[in-house]
Amino acid sequence: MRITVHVNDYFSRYGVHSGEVELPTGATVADLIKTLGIPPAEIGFVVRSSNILKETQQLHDGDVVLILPFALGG
Amino acid sequence: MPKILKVKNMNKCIGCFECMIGCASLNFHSHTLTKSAIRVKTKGGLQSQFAAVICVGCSEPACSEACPTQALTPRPGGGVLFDAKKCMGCEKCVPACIVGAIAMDKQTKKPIICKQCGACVQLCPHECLAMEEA
Amino acid sequence: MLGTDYIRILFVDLSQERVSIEERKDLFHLLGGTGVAAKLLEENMHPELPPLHEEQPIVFAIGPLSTIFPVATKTVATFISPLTGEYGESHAGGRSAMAIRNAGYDAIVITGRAKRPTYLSISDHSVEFKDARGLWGLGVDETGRIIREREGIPGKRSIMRIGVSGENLVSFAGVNVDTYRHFGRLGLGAVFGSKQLKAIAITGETDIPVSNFKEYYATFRWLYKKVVETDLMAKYHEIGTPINIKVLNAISSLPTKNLKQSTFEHADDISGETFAEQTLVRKVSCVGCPIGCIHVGQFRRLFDKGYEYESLAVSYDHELIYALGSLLGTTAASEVLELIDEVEETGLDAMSTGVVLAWATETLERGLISVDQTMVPLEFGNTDGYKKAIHYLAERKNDFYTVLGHGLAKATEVYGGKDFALVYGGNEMAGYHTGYAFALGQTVGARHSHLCNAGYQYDQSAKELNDEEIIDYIIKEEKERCMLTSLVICLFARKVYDRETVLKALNAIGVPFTDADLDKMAEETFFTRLRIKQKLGYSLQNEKFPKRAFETPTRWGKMDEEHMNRLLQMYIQRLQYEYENYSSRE
Repeated sequence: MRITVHVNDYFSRYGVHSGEVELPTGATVADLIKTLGIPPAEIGFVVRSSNILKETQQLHDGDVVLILPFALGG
Repeated sequence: MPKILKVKNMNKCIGCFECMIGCASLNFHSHTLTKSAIRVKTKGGLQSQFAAVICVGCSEPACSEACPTQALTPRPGGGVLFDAKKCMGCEKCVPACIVGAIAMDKQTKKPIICKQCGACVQLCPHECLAMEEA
Repeated sequence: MLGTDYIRILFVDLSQERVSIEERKDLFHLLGGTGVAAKLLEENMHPELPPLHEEQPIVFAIGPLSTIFPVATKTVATFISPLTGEYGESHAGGRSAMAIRNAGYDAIVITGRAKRPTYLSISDHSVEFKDARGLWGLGVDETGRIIREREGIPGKRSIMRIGVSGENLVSFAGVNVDTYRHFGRLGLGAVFGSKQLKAIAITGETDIPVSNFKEYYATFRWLYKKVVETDLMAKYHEIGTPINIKVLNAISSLPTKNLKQSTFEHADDISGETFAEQTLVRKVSCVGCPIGCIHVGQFRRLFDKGYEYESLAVSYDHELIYALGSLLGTTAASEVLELIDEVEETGLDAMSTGVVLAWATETLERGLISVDQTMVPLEFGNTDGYKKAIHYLAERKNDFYTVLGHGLAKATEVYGGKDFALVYGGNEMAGYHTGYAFALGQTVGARHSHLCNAGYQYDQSAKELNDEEIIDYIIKEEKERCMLTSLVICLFARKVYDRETVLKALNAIGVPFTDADLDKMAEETFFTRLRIKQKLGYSLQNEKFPKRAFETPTRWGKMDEEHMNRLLQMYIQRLQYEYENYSSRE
């Protein structure tokens, strides 16, 4: 299945950019992160339609997903 | 050929002063920021750019020419070597340096002279400085 | 003092124009920063007198690691806050810590009131009380320029100054430090103003030999590498904290239009990425920090026909983009910069100003006040109106702005609108509507800041909410920060300065602390601050949460007011338990 990822600029340091990703059917958020190659510890939120997804949640064909770091501060 | 310190691009300087903190501690065993051979300051307030006042490693150092006791002698590759034992603290080297790189150490009453050691270069996060051949 | 076993304190009496110096061995175990500044506040404050009474002190303190190790950049100020009427603590970097260190002091205590507008000139061998009558009424930038031309060693000085808001005793007036940094929150600027203290210039060349050269230099280089070559601090340098705008927006945590919303339809127009792409011209550092998190944005503004442009360079950060951006419905990055510039010049705290104006906007919308009072039509997104309002606020132009200048909590006592006043712990809200831990954290934190205990972090990283965990987290984090801000490190480096690193750094300069010593001083400081608050009449039992916080979704959906109040009670009980434990051990 194909999903669209909007990857926060910060993750470009891992060579990851926004675009389309091919995943096997039934792939989870954790699978997506692995495929993209972002260290899981760096991931803040994976958001689909304003919902924060859990690692174990499944993705569907045509999903549009935001990949964000944590908000930081002092 | 031995290298000398050069300023590459002060537009990138963020004013962190690690170059001074490093020089003062390494070369003068001091936490006193003014005891640094490299001096960074703004051109006029923090909204302006930073400038680094450094020993530019003259091949014909005017400071050693001005020194009456040969405490300062030309260094191969540029700059000077400083023998503190020979220095009498006359301060003639200070005005002789046209770029203003020499300041007097208030405690020792001797000039703070750049050794061209390159520690400041290593401590600059933005590579504003470099050690290069003349 | 480095290489000694005491804290060297400069006492300045503005009334008598007298100074004295003390060396306190008994404070050495508190390291510096928050530890020392809180204790000195306790010793020198007058709980029976109002916050702006001339006898109240201003305390500044640096720590053993200040300047000589990377990112130990901050100075801690403690005072009685005119905004909350109780404990005030604020941190600022710039060149302040370096200057205080080089002037030869670990702490400075200022009391009294100058007979006329004055600025202090502190060096390693003198303290002068200078005539600042000609500076009174001048903005922050011009004041800095004039003093810079008169005082101190170029590149080795720090200039703290107030704007007209501080002169006019606005309760959330701040102190500008070296153009780009601030003692922002809780009204230190008003305390300066009440003492007719326009500015403090500090410089020096105190001889401070390195003890244990080999160990110190090796540790310094190792720490430098840790800061610069690992990713522990990378985010603060690249886009910086403005990276938060898009993140918080996506998780419904970005306070927008007085928190009517927690997402902003124009988030992309004022995102950190947009600021960087459209405006960012350079980054600047505090002295001793190789990261450079100060992001300076530039914009040009047409001031007259015929291509007459002026350009302004302004430092921006997440909190400013929130308070003067999303919270006010500002739709363009350049307009946010314009608002920041106005706030900077007048010396107001940006966060409190934004929250106060957002409230005023909604109050006007609802007809609780009229345009006669606001003098300009305050509307979300109307930058021109807000620009004028900022000046009216700083100048206390009329009754309405005078009341507003006392802070939002007091303003609601006069005009109502408490339900949508974004106040936590008496202090205007910080830019994270992330959930219970943020709300609790800013409320119970000793200085009513999200920085006290980072509740906003818990809200984000928790997989599920757990009340006990929230309490544990908040208390543990606040205690640890009591120690970190006594060193004094910038909190952006808190991941760099784990316990092992802190001890390594301290030991390298001959301060033989152990982990247990750090625990001890953290706890002592934690409870000292609570004791000060108590002496000043503060009680957590009086704390309430703004109703608006429960009407707008957070990252966890809408919060429940009963749950929030339960959490507060749990915290109070836990605090009591901890205090009894601590007292019985002492």
